[in-house]
Amino acid sequence: MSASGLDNNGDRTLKFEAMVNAYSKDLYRYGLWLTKDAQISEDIVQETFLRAWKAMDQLKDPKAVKSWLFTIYRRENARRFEKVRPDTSPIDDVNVDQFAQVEDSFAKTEVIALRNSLKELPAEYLDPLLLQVLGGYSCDEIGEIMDIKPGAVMTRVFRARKKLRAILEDDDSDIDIDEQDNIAEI
Amino acid sequence: MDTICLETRRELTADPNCRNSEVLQHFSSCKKCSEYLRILKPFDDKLKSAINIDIPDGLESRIILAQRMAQTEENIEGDNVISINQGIKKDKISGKRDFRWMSLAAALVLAVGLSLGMFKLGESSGVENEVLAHIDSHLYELEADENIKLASLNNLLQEYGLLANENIGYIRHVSNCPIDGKMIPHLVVTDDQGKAVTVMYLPWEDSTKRTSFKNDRFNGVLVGAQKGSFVIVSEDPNSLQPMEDRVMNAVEVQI
Repeated sequence: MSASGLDNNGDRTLKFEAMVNAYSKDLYRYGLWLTKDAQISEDIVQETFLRAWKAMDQLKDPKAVKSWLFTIYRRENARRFEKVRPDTSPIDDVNVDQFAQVEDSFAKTEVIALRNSLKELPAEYLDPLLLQVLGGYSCDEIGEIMDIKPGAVMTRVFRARKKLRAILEDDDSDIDIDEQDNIAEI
Repeated sequence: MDTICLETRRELTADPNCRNSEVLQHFSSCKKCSEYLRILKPFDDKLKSAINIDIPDGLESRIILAQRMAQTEENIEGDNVISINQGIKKDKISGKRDFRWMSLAAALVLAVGLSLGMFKLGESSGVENEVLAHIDSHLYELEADENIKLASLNNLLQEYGLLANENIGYIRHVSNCPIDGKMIPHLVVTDDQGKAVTVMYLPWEDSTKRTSFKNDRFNGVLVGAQKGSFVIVSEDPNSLQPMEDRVMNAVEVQI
């Protein structure tokens, strides 16, 4: 290995660590909401970053890092279902105990109510909403990540937000929205 | 309400942080739409608070540790390639240079591992340590009772060139797990006494002998197969041999 090789390796390591510090939290949160299991989410985050480390040289645009990581995570999560299909997995049996501690740390009942509703939100609505809130992506960008049309993304996040807003009585009384045409006058 | 207000509010409802230039342009000149967004914002803040759950301590450290281990392995593989392709002389030169990095990487892995309490020096070594550390950090898997069907099990095992028959017994849990920077099949099987026994397969570990290892809780054995090796770990040392016999009879390694 040449001296420059050492420098490149060190540079690569520093970039990797910066990437971990910048994005591992949001990836973990994204995964926990999707998998409803803290350990599974962490395992997939680990695997995501290992794959990112091995393929870092292929990444040319630093602005694309976050999308790239979310895409790797989604692929790794999908592989989990391709390989092992649980024999029975009714929603009531999904382990969501790890949320309990989190809920205790929040005094706001509205946030707790939102978390309970987020747990029940179907994945097709939850996934684009998480990408929007955690990833900061537009509907167009989410459409690219999920490989669906931007209009479909917009419909899903609209419905997700509407459903979640409905559980907060105050907000629900302030504003009435309908995805077709009827957005109330204020 | 005109069409553009309707469209603006629809977009803002779906994405209060919408960056669509047409929406932004209209929004800046329409008081009613501006007020509409003002009402939306508090909900958006609550939603962010709800989604932003706490992160487990040491997450970043564990990710970096896994990468360091993978990096160490890459370096070792790199050394082998050089020695084969470029001769002994260059191998010696590069070996001296790489040694500093290898030492640094190994020291770093050891330091982080010790700080996380992952390694119990003097009792076991190598991949066995990582297996024990993995089981220690995944204790909940020993409590699982998912009644994995044989077809589901083989659906995973075939990815690793393995095929199990019904003699493998009751499978409580199965997953893909990272060991030594590579994904491996991780099974939890019920033994004849009803105890949970961990069974893993390391495709790259061509062991020619049976190696026992342990930490302060678990006992394990690494057994070479036709290709790769099986690792069997249990709290009860008496569970190891019967499970080893069962695995060797029930799991075919397809070369």
